[in-house]
Amino acid sequence: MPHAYLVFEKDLRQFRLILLSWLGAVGVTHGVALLGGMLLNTHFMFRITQPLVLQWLSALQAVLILIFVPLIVQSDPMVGTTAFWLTRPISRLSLLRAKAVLVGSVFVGIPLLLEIAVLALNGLAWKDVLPAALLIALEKSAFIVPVFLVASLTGKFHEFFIAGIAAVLGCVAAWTLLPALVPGLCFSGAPGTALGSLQQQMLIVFVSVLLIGHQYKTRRTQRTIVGVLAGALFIPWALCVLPQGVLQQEVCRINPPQVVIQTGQAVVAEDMVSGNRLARDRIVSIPIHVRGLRSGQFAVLLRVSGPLIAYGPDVQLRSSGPLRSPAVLLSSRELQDPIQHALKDFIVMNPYQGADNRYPVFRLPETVYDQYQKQSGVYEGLGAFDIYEYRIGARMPLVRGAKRFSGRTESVVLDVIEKPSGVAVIVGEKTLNVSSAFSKGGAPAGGDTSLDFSGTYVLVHPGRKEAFLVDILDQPGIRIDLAWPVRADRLGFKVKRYDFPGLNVGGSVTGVQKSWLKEAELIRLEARELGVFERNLRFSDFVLPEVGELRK
Amino acid sequence: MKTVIETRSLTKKFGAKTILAQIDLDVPAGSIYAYLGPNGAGKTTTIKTMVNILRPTRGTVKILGVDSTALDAKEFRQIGYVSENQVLPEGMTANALFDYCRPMYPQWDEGFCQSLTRQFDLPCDEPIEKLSRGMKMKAALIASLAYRPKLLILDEPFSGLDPVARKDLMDGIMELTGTEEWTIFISSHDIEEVEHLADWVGFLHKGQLKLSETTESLQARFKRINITLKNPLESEVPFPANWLLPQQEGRFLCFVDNSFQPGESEKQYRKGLPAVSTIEIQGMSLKEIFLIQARQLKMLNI
Repeated sequence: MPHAYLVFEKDLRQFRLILLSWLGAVGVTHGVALLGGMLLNTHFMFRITQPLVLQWLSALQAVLILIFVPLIVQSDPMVGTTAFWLTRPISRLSLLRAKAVLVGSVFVGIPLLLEIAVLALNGLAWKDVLPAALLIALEKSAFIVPVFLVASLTGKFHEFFIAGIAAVLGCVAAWTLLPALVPGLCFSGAPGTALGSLQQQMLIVFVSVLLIGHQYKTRRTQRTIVGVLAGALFIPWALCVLPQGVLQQEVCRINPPQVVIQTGQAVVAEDMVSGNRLARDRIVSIPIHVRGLRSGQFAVLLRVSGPLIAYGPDVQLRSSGPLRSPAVLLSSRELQDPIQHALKDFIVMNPYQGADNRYPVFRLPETVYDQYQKQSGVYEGLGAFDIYEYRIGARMPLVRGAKRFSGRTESVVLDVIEKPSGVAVIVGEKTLNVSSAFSKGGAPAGGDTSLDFSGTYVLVHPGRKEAFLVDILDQPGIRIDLAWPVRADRLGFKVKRYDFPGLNVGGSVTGVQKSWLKEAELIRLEARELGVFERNLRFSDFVLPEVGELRK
Repeated sequence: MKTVIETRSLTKKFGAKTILAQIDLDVPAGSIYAYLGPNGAGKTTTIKTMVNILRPTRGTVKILGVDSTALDAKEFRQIGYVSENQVLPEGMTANALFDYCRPMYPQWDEGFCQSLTRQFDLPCDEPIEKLSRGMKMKAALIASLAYRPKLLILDEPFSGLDPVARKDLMDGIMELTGTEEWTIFISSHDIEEVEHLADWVGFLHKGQLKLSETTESLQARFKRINITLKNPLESEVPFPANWLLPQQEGRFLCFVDNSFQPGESEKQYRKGLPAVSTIEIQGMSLKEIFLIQARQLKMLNI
């Protein structure tokens, strides 16, 4: 009988109770998630409680993994000199095989199968099963394999606990301090795209597997710990400098657009500094218009890398921290043409006096900011832009229960509430987003969790050819996600209220008329990503606006 | 003489601290080798290096003819190891432990296992974590004897056991040694535990092997000598180096001779001392030899 099987069977017997409790937690989580799809549209209380229940269950699963994986690994520890297996005819390779198979099958394999089943019951296409399985397995492994690694470097649970905390704190400190201390060091923080996450997960799993292999092969713990430290520095460095090859998103094929930057209307807002309640940063945002795109296309500034302002040859200010994602308003001027282009024959009514979208481009502590405000300098940074166009995803009558599928999203009209000032539509959405990380182009990365312009609704009257934009894009809503432990956008259930007060605004157009609403339809507009491009942003006479213009 | 364990210049350091220094040790096949020394002498480190739990800093160890760092499943099927420090799978019962071990050893003797279980009166259905320390040691011993290893290594097996458990275990090992052809390497800081078992003895002191020989030759070599002189010694006479811990009171002189040779030594005493009246030669137990050796080293501050 292979010795790996003996160890596997021993662990299975020894840990049967905790494995059963784990399977129970996983089963309940997926059951609740499955019910989410079935009951969301009909059971109000379920709609309210399910997100909370799922959050707790997901947290419980993470905690269980942090307890159970070390227990299994440390039952035959790779450190210390007192383990039973050390003087028995069991090879370290057999031990590794046994532990990897048990942890892999129970903590990755079974949840993976359940999750695929839940996704399949919610409309996952056959062609997406394999990429989804790979993606889910990778995400789960990126959490579990490092836990396995730390457990293999410690002999007791309390040591694992302390080492885990030390590892997390050490990584955060290194990732924060090193780029500041080593000039020119290229260090990537948290990846901002699904592709970046995927690469990060691959690197974490790859480095962890190598180190686990080293520890089991040699039992030289100190050397493995040195490897862990090296890996913690290597991963962010690699994410920053290594070529991304096949995973690189397609570069935009559109003719190089002329980037026109308007700086005259820069505004400043303040933001709390993470971890310090008393300190505040100031964030400068400016409108940025991209000219030269084809009709119907629009560009969004995703991020600015390495922004700095030079005040003469000797003084350079560097942006002091992460910049918030921009809120792109559906009513903004840049989006009117793309929306109109997608709606073709409809006349888009935009009674909201669309403003310009402003993108955060610089961040400074308030003391430094005050010192340099109103001074003229030269701003430089590398801007990364995404280009999108809108298309009609689904079109459905404005009646309760109307349901349509578009791409990865199923939309259901849950309620239509007529009001004196317009109409409110409650829409339920179920979004499957399993393979976007592998695809080039398509929907914005991360679904619509961070980019709120990516999917929205307009109310149209086919006969009158009128289309009304929703009032405020970011409506309060409930979002339920089945995604553990890393991603939160694989299968989402969302209920949102969309207000269309526009029916009453500009009374010459129309009022709230039952006949208008009777023939009205709801159109789901989806932003489709066409590509990315980068441009150096450089402009002289950049002035940090006065704090009097502070926008909270 | 075929050796089962052979160390050459074995050195082990932890950081700057030397735990074992240049140990040259040979354990003949079929012997019961008592590896003695006070606590902290380096006995456990030697054993852990032998079975590849620790790597030597310098030097080599060969077990059953194989370098310790290359020991694999094939050799471990022939080695039994019981240590006071070893952590058994606590959640298992003794029976589950034997079930777990059985497939690892093709030569596992189930009848022998059961007879040992009966002999040791081991409660096999109790979880190991609930067993007393003595019972845990018995379970570990059975799990290391049932496959009839060629080499049995016992690291302080009696440490911390109550007298009854200690006697049970010792009787069991003694009974086995009468019937089985195997080599036993047993470490202890208490010579009384093993003096009835051992036919070879090694004495380790502060990481250095001070002696390694058969108990027979050791006991022949170490004698307590009581000499009565006709007159007290008038001045301090320098004694030979092999006269350990000499004590003189009036006409009486006593010491331990660590190089005693019948006939020859008596001539040496008469030659070296004036007017010897009587010479009394007493044999010594291993425990006495052990204590004398330890005291001598302490006196010399080694």
